[in-house]
Amino acid sequence: MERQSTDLVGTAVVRPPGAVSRFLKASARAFQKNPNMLAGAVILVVMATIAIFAPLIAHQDPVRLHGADRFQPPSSRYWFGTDHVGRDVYARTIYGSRISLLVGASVAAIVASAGTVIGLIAGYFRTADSVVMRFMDGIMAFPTLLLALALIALLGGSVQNVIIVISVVDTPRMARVVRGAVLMLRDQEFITAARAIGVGPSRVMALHILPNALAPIIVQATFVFASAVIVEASLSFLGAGTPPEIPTWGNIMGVGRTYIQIALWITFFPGLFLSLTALAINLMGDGLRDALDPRLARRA
Amino acid sequence: MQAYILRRVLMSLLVIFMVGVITFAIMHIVPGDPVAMLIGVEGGYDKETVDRMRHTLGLDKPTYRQFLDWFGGIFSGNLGTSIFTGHSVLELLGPRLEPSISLAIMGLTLAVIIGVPMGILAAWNANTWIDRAVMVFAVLGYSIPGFWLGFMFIWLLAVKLPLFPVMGYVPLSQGLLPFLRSLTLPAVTIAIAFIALIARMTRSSMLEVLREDYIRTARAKGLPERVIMVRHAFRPASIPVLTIIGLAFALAVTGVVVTETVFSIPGTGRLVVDAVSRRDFPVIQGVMMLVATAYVMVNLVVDVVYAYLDPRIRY
Repeated sequence: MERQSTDLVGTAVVRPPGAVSRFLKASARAFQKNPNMLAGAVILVVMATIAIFAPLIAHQDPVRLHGADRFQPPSSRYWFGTDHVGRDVYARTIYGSRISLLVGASVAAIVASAGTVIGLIAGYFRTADSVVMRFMDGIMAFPTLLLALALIALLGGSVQNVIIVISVVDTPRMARVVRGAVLMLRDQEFITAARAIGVGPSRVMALHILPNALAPIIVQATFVFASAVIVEASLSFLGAGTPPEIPTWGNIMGVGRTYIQIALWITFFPGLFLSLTALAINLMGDGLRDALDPRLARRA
Repeated sequence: MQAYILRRVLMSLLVIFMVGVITFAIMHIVPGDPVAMLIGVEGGYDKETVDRMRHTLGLDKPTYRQFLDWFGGIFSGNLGTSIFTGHSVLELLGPRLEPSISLAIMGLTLAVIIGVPMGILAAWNANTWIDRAVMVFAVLGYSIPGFWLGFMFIWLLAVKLPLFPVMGYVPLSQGLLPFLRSLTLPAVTIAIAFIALIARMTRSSMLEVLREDYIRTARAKGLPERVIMVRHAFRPASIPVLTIIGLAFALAVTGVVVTETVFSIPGTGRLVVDAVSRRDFPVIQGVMMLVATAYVMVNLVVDVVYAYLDPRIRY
């Protein structure tokens, strides 16, 4: 009986009105006002479409060897040329978008979830804070690529492991962002009020703190997405990411490295796609940040 | 101030300890028996040999002792021994430091020389085409992966126009000019991301300062705009830019690893990549420990300098 009444008070009266809807409105306004952000969104949608419909768009088989057509420059038959064993670089680049976007999106989702949980706990419970955050500092003391390389050496290269490794490396920064937001919110009056009427920690965190911390989480997640796409490509390029038989942008460029003087196209096209994708996501991230963080928007 | 420094030093030591725990843990969740990995074949050796090996490696001790021995060893300069070549990690690192450090320093210097004026120029001309051009460059520099850019430089400036060597490294001992020529393209490649970062930081920091009252006062008394920008605005604005030095260090390590592969430079980055492909864990561990400790130290120094320059920061 008593529980019910506090629940009612906690949700209906004390909760600040519409943190989530305010967030959605601000994002929608950003798209209208910021042409860069719209451009980023359009490029990203095009890339996603390419990834989903890869078999229809790449009119060739990405792994088929055309022994007689090695190192063919771009032509009407091979739009992006062929590599050292005569594989169609266009088809490989198109299929490569699948791995890049899969890794980027998965890492962004995992990091957003794990980082949010860790950040909420660290920010809300004083005792957990120092232990958890020192551990996070420990992980952050390694440059991203170095730790990712070491973990790949340990686990072995596969798409799944690449996702795990980049997530581990990127989570601490997200946790720190969330923790910072929680620390700013936890002493505000509506939180104190919720706690005073007996709302438990998990409810306070889920219903009162989280909706108000959504903006920095989303902004950080877009930057994680962009960096994950680049780190995946870097790992594959260094021969420590996805297995070489899978066409990914990094793998294609890793092959092209040896032949840069005679066959620029092997490296040029996958790198162009990679740069465009990272640029699109960063443009969206910048736009979102300006729209959602009034302190930064003022500067622009 | 002293209390603050002491607190930061203790915290850094704690982080270095954490770095040690993480690095050690990575070695110890290696799938498979390290002894079997060392000998190279599974079985075929009598139990006595394996046990003796175990003993010499200290693997028969409890885990916490192994950790203490290893961690203590690091501070007396023993970073471990390569499984693959039998050389100590320090021996392996020695000849590889010169190219990597030269590359990082040259890249960072270029970035500061180009990035800071770009940021000032953008803030000075806020909301004009100059500002927008700088910002576009900043997003591009941050999004385009360094290794791809490196290839484009090679193709354009070494293959099509043979101004620079295609790849390889010429040590300083063979003359300054060849040394600089061999490092120019890699250094520019590394610098692009920094330039973007520094220009962006400088710009936003300058914009913040330019709104201060004393800037208006300086304008009111008729000081030339150039003097206001450089002497009144840039000096305080440069303090927050300092904080990215820590980040720059991390970026430099990443840049060095990738760029050395692109330009075939026999540096620390190549050492790591080769160690990863051979699963030579002691080498990976040694380099991780070294780089992470250096990173923590750099951040400690930056924090202390920052607190010294801006006394409001001490919390």
